[in-house]
Amino acid sequence: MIFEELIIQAKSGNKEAFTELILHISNDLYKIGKTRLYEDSDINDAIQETMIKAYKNLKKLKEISNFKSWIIKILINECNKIYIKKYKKEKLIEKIKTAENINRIDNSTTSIDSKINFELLIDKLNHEEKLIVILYYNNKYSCSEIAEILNMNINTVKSRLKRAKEKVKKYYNGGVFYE
Amino acid sequence: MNKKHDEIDNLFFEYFENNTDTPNIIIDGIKTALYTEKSNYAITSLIKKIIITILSIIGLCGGIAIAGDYIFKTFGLGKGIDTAAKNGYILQQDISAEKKVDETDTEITIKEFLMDDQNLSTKFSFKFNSNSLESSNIKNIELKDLIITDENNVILYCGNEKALNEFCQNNNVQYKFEKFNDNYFNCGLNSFLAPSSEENIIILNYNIYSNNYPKSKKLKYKFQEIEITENEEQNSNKKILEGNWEFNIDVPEKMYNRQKIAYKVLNCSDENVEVSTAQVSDTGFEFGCIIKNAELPDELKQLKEQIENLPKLNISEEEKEKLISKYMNSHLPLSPINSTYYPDLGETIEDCTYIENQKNQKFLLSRNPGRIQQEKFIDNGKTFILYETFDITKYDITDEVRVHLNFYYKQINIQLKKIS
Repeated sequence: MIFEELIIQAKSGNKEAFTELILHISNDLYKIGKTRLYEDSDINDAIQETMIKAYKNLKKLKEISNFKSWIIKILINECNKIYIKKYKKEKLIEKIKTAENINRIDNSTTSIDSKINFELLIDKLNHEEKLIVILYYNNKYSCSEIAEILNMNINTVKSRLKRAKEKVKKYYNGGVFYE
Repeated sequence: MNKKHDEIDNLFFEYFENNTDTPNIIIDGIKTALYTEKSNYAITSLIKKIIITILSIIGLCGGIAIAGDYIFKTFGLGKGIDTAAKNGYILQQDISAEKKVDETDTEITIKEFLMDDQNLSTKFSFKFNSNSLESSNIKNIELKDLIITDENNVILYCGNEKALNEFCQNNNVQYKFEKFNDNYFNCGLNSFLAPSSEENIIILNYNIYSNNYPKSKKLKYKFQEIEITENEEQNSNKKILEGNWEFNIDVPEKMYNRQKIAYKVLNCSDENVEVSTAQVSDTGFEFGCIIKNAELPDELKQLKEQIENLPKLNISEEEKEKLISKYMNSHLPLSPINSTYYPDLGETIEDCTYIENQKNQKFLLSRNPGRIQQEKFIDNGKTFILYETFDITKYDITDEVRVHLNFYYKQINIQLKKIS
């Protein structure tokens, strides 16, 4: 209830209420930011830009219950902007280096249980898979809700989620990541 | 294990449940995002502090709270007023208009009221029954010709010249608009809308302030013109509702019999400080003093000037960062009295100005725009005059309190005791 009251107050121009709203969901936003961006300072920039845009357009939000998914959509766009501006070239180089490393990792990893770092597994997923995984497991959205947020076909969401799970499961059981 | 979920599902769920830490840079960025549009954290936080400090000194910036997550409640005037209201220093009853004529059948009710020497705050509730007005679209409401008078025909507030002329004609007096006198108060106004939990109702907070309101017992509110501003999507439409609304308020006895309690100095850690005022009311603590030998050493004076002009300095970003670090390490506040608490800039409460009671509770300076406030240098900068209001009230105060002033780089402590 208090979350909804904060949205009402924020809609009437209360900056402090809006700030408190975002603080409530800060961890969710951070995790989503991390699917695209690597530096915390870049994630911070994306979240700040998201807040400014969202606050200016808050009156356009018709349904209070859609607040979180609405903010997430804005954040995803902001992260993409920074990514395109800053990371694309760097990522391409990293990808080449990662491809070189995969074989080395796979060959050396025999005792998986002792070396599993789940964060690393998630990190191996591509951006879209990471985003869907976070929206599904962290934010607990349904596939249809995720499809709406990401402007995707629901079947695409389901297949990407399934693929992400398969990748992690395979690696968890000692397999290889395929891009 | 959940039957619908397999081992990998549960790994995911468990991972996200156990990873809930958010880095400080993100939290701090969220707290300051709406106060700057640039993305460079260190510099823009400082610029924001500079802007807010300057605006605070000239009394334009009473409502911004950066530290902590305190959301203003009762009238949006800060902790002191909220404490008073929580302890019964508020009139909360539905007061309908004694007289009401309007074609749109707008229902207006006074829901809350509070008055003291500086504040005259009213909370109105509006229900628009006309189909042409949707409360969710409304951006602003202004009572264009509101006039508030008391039983002695003292004008406590007058919105425009038309209202004043009508009052003068009806009461056989001759006042000129904005030529204030003992019976016609000069006031400021701080108003804003707030949501209501009831459908189609909107709340208007009208906070009027002046220097020394009389101890009125009966108030009359009268207005004939309401200006409604609708949201930007509809091209900021302004609509005028015309009618004739009059409300009468019986001021509660605790408000018209309000008294301040004086405090005296027990000791002071700095011989250059002379206390001129120390008194507590239902809504705050007024403190005034003179600080002699108030000049800064030259090096700090230069640093202060550089920081104040930081946005305009023609130096590299790296040099700006170095300057900010130097400023941070000097603990030099931007105004003589460090009146606002910025924990996101690494400040501790000891870097601020506060009052502490005997229960070890600390109270910062009020952000109420209606408070009496003065911070100025006289005597070619050698003497500093301070008059401020703290958020500690009669309901929080103890027999002894300690005022902690952070004057530039000096920590000054003044022990006060209630005069019985």
